[in-house]
Amino acid sequence: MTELSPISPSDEICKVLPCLPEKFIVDFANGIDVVNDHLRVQRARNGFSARLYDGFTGQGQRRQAEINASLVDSVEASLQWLTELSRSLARSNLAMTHVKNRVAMIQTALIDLTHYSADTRQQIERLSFELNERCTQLERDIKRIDLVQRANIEIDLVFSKWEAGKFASFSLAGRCYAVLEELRWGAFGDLYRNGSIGERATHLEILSNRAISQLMRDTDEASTKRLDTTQWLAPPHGRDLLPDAQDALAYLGDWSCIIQSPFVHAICNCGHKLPLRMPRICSSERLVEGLVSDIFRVNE
Amino acid sequence: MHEQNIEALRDEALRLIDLQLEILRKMLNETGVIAESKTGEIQTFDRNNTLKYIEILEGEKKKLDRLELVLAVVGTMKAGKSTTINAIVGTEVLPNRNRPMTALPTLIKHTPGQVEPILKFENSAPIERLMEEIGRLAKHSDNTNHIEHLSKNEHMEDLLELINTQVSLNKIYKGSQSIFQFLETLNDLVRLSRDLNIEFPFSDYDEIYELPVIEVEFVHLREQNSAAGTLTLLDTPGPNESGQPHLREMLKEQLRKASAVLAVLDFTQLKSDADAQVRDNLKEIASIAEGRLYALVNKFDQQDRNSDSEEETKLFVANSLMEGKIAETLIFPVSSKFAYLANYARRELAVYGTLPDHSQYPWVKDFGTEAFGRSWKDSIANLEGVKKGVDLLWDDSLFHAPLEKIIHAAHAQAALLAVDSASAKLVDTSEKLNNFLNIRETALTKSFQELKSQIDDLQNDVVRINSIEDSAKKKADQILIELEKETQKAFQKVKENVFESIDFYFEESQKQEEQRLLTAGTKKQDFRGSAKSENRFSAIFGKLLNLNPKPKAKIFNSNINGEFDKKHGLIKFNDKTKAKSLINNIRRSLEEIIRENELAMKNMMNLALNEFQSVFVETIAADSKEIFSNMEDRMKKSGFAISLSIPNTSLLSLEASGSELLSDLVDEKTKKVTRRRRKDNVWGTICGWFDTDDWGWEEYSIQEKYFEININAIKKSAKNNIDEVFSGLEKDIAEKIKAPLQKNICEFFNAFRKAVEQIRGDLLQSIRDQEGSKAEQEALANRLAGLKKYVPVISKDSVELQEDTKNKLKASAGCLA
Repeated sequence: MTELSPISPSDEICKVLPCLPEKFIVDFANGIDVVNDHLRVQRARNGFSARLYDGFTGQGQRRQAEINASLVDSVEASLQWLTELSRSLARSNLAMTHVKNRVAMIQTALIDLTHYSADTRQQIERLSFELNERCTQLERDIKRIDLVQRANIEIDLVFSKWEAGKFASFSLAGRCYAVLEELRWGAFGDLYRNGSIGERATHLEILSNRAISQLMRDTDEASTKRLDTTQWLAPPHGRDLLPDAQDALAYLGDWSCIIQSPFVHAICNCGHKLPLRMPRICSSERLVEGLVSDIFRVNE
Repeated sequence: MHEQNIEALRDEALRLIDLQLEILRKMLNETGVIAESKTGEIQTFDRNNTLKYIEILEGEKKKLDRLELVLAVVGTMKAGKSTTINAIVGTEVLPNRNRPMTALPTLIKHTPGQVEPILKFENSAPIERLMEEIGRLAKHSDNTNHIEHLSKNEHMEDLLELINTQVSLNKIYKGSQSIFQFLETLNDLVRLSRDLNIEFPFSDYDEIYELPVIEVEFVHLREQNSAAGTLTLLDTPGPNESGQPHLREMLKEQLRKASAVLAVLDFTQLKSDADAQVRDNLKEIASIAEGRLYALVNKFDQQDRNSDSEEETKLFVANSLMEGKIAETLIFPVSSKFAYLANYARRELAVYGTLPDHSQYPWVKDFGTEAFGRSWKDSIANLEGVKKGVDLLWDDSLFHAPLEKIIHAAHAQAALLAVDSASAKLVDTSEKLNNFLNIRETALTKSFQELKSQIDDLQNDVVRINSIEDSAKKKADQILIELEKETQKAFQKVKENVFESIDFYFEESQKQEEQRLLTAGTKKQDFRGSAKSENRFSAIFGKLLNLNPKPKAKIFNSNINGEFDKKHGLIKFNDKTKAKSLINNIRRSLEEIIRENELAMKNMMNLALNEFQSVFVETIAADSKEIFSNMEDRMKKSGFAISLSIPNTSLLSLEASGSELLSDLVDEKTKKVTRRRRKDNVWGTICGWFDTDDWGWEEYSIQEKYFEININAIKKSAKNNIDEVFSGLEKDIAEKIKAPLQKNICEFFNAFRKAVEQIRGDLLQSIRDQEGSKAEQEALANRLAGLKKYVPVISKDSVELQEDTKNKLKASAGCLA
């Protein structure tokens, strides 16, 4: 059932991982293929993103007919959705910037393509304008409101969710990854990316320390206590776990690779062979160090 | 949270090896990274030694991939060691019938698919050389008498025949029968060489892979996937049961290396057999195989309602027999006979689908009666019934649980040892990689002058190391002299103790004899009613032994002073057995006295050696660390991030423990005294002394039909021998401690110097790096930086893996502590 049922923004998993819609919009924008006039919904590659698509666009029921009519995947329709979704879902600076850049690229590409109508061209101009406006607004906000303070509030919020057990549906390592990924999309990520080298190191240290201490609490072990990686990666047992938890992580970390980001890859591809660069035994210190490096240093 | 498991340690070691191999291979492939070392300099990595590092790591990988589980089985023949081994294997690989102890340890290796046992003996050349020598000697006229005497023994005759006709042994023996014959030949050869006073080439068989190996499929492992490791049984006499002093060290070493040690005890003899020696043997094995020793209490099928229950047996062995040296949970009452019959039948069923004819194969009857009772003949006709019988008999043998547990534990231990060895290599290689890549990369940015001055400073370090080495050697000599003095003193004291005890003991016994003769009325009367008198005798000796001999002896001496004419301490017997029993009593008492004192000596030696260890090793380690940390600081100031670990200080430790040193000492001495020794420590040697003929009682017996024991002669003989044993310590300390220590000090400092020289070599190479064009240098810097990227984490993970493994090893050894 979960295989097909759509995931809507009001679902529990999206509350636990608010960066899911953010990533979804970026992926959506990236999936618009103007050359072939269709949207690459990664249906075959990842059932999870297809379910997000269905849920976020409210197309669950209509879908089959429209697929048949080959309407839904057209660039025109996609741009419509992108406009709506970016208005309703995208909140973070990171997502907005990505989408804005993508739209600018599409706009440039359309110049050379003759088979698009004037309507479509107008549509994209409007969207581009709108996104630029919002980004400028956000940048203004960033400068106006103390970004450090916002980042701190966000860190507190995300870690308090972890403390409160909202991430209990993930493996131990998965919780840590979810938190770091969430922060990367949010104000902390903005703060980090805007910092000097020295500031960045400080931000990451603060972040690491908090993650380590929470993992110490979760495992009831010292930060240097080395545990089998299988224990860090073991799916949790118990009632009231979110059925989509592991799929959601896999979706969030679909950018990972075994050489550059082995920790994220191991967490997001549970059940696969562990990457060579993923330790088979590690302490919470080592785990956090590896994850932070994978997520922030590699994505710089 | 759970403890990390050993499989994870193994996976981690494999992973780190792969990562290091990846870096080393890349280093070889990328231009300019690895160069040839110029003559007179050594680099941390040059073309040659990089290949060697790769080879070493590949070797470690292989060991981790395919674990060798060696399960050493010790125990006496009487306890059913052979039956136990046959039971584990499921076929008769070792003769069950009476035969002397295994002369050479033999390996029995689980080889899937090998139904018929096959013995392979690759390393036969040393034995063949021995046979040639025996053949030569046998022809020599001096030995003909001796040889004639020997050939009265049936086996020996065959053996001599073999030696005369054939000088080469087969390398392969197929089937139980020819394997038995081969093993017997080997046993006889050992005995024959001892009789002819030719040294048996034991040193050619001190590594496990040098031993003969029997390959056969173990029945109960048939179904199991043993890809994770191979199980090999090591059939070995216990270190003190071998009767071969040369063998003892080698056996101890093998027990030390074994993944697990299985001691086979005899349930029916637990209490009667529990004399001091059996206990001591077991305790010695327990201390060698700490935490890896398992005890099978065999013949538990003979348990009845009057004997101890399973629980009681475990408690008795753990507490009374082993005095807490082995945990109760590691003791398993079993029936090897049941297990053997069940497994044998199971194997026949698996291979042939049916049991063989009982009239031709007697074991079938044994199986039948044990499984079905008196009506067995009817029952074994029914195949389904037989299968059930096999299972029931196997259950009753109580073998399943211990076997599972022991193999599991052996597997874990083997894995742990493999990881331990691998992690040492990993730590070493990653430290070297770190230093090498850092130095080369950093040096590209340094001026020639800067590099030159670093190189000169390192040269000075080498000079300082040389001077530390000199003073270390002097210090070692000095401490050794002190050690020698101290131990000499201690030994003197122990010797006096023994003498005093002997004096006291003989005076007491003479006095008792005198008393008895007087009350009996006449001096020439024999002691009939001897049942009583003999009891009294042993009672006296027993009492004596419980006394603390020293102070009592003094009191006694003053009381009886002058009452005895020690020169004519003769005791006469009409009955030979009584004379013998007196001799035995005396012997036992002497053994006891010496045993106690031997223990005291061992303890003293150990204390002295420990003292030496802490003073000496700590000083050298501290000096060495200082040089390295100065070096690190100095280079860090110039921007070179290196870290160095001092060479393994265990090189500086003394391999011999007090007891080993002493045992060897005693062996050497007693060998001079008498060739026919029966046991191999001080007190055991006395048996041999009683074969000397200067006591005269045998001669008297023929002429006068009565037996006389010359107490004084015995005393003198005992004292002489003890004197011999206790002398010559000086030479022994020189041989056993001084020489190896000096060699090891050299090795330690060579390793130390090499570490510094390598860094110097890397810097010299760096000067040559700067000869290239700017673009070339930049490209090299990039390559080095790329290679270096993952080294720090690999290094950190390796160090932590090593720590984990060391802790685990400590925990597994100390689980009883």
